[in-house]
Amino acid sequence: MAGAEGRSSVREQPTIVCRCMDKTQEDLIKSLQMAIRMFGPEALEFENYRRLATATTGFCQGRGCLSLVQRVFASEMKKMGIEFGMDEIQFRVRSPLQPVPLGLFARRSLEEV
Amino acid sequence: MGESMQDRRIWEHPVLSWDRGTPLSISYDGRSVTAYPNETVAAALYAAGVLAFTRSSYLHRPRGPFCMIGKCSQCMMRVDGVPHVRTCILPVEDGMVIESEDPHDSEYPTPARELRVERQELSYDLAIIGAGPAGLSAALAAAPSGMRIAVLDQSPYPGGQLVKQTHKFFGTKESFAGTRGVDIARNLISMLKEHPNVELHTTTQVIGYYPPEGVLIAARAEGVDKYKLMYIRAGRYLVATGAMERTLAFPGNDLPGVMGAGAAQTLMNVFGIKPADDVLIIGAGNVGVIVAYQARQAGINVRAVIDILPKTAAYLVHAAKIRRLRIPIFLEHTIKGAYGDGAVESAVIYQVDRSFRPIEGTEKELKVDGVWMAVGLSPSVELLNKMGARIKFVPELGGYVPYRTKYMETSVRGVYVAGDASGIEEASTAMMEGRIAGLSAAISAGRGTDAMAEERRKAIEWLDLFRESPDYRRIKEGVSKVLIQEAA
Repeated sequence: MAGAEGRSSVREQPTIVCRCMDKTQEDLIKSLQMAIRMFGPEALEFENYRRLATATTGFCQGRGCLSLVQRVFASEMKKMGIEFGMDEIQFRVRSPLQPVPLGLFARRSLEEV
Repeated sequence: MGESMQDRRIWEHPVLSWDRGTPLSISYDGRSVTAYPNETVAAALYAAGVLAFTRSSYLHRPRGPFCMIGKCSQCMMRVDGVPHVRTCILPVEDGMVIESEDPHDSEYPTPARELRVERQELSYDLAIIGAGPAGLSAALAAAPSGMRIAVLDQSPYPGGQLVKQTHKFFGTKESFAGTRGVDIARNLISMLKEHPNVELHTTTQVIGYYPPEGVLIAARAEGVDKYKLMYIRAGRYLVATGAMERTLAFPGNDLPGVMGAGAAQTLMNVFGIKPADDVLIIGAGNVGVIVAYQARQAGINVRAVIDILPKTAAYLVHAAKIRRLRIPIFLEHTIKGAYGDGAVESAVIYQVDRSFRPIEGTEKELKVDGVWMAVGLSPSVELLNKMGARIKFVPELGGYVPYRTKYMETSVRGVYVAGDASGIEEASTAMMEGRIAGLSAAISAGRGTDAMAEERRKAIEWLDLFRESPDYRRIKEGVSKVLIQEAA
């Protein structure tokens, strides 16, 4: 059979959760298992997980994926019997809030500092 | 391969027209592309049929713009030798050299080019971040106080998402019934120009905020390599940063051609460009059905509008419009995946049962080159988070939103919020919240008049009344969860 069905690369598409850091749902689950090994299921916070998985830390700073990433986190934690409260935001974003050239903050020479 | 550049611009439209001006020319990966002065680089490329703008960093997937309003960062390209420029908010200039970036290229990212940076220290009584319906209304309301006000927006054109609202608003006179959003934006901006104490800074991105002194850092782009770095100290801050369109997790959800319904609106209505020829719209709420109607007006074949819920959340007026056009609406349906080689070529949808599980044998494949997501918005609260505002997850308001008083002051004294950043609602309520926040900023600074206090009382009354209607009960409930009771 010719056509779209015939091209496996076309049919096999990943499900991307965080576009900037290119993280799929499977990547996120894998990182979570690693995070749990490192921190222990009780001590693991979303902030630790986010940094380890790198999802939400790309150019868009989680604007597009934060809710999806949290959903994966919450549902996987739930499987281990841990309720993750989404109630209050659990981390502080860092500057720069927008993707700007680093040269904006750089000085030409030490004398300028 | 002798691939000639297409022209996806709309030259005939039943209600809209575009004053395009004299064509100019930009270069895209060595090819010459026609552009028009009012376009952004991303719009001009889309018009030429370019869908994949860049490659993703690890999986090397082709990517194209998702949001078209400077948030998703999937449209970044090398412009005149400067890497990672968001092309959707960059106005075209004749002779610009645009190159797609490939993270797997040995020269990626291109060697840095020297930037021209001028530093400025500025002080204002009120700094408003975001020049959409909320921010502009706030500036207008506060302007008569005589306060020195700065309005900052990262886009080259002010007006926020009003500029793509080409349908007439309905409701009452206060909610601008009978006026198209794009005209409301034009009116607000021209009224604002009559106030010499208000400065409007476009192409200005807020990149940080540093307590305890409270310095806001913003970068005003005056070309890809020329910036003004602004250190702003303001007595009051008002955050009206809007929202970002959501997406869903399904295979192929990052393919070029999968975009926010609002992004498609920007292309169609602001720039007069057809984002696709055949489209599947996910979400049959107000945004989904309005965009379906506008797509049809733009000459696009809407193959289906689907929604996972058993009934549409859209206003009857809007839903009836697309039923009349015989655009198929499939309820209790969702997307299985989007497929294609380099961009969307088809999508598969299926029916779900009451627990949202797929029903076997209901899969349908649609030949589409566009999949538009109208599945809601998330408030953009990054700046408020950075400023230390207490933020809570409130599903009724679209996600994380700041606590606020009825005067729209957040948990941080002197920091106000308005519009979608305080909860997803609509343009009319965003304008009313903007007015309340702007007036409150003036009144709390001791710059208000009796007339302003009266205007604020009326605005709060209007908003309360608006949210009494059955359609907005949910919003009212949501707001009550983050309302800070003001001590009398």
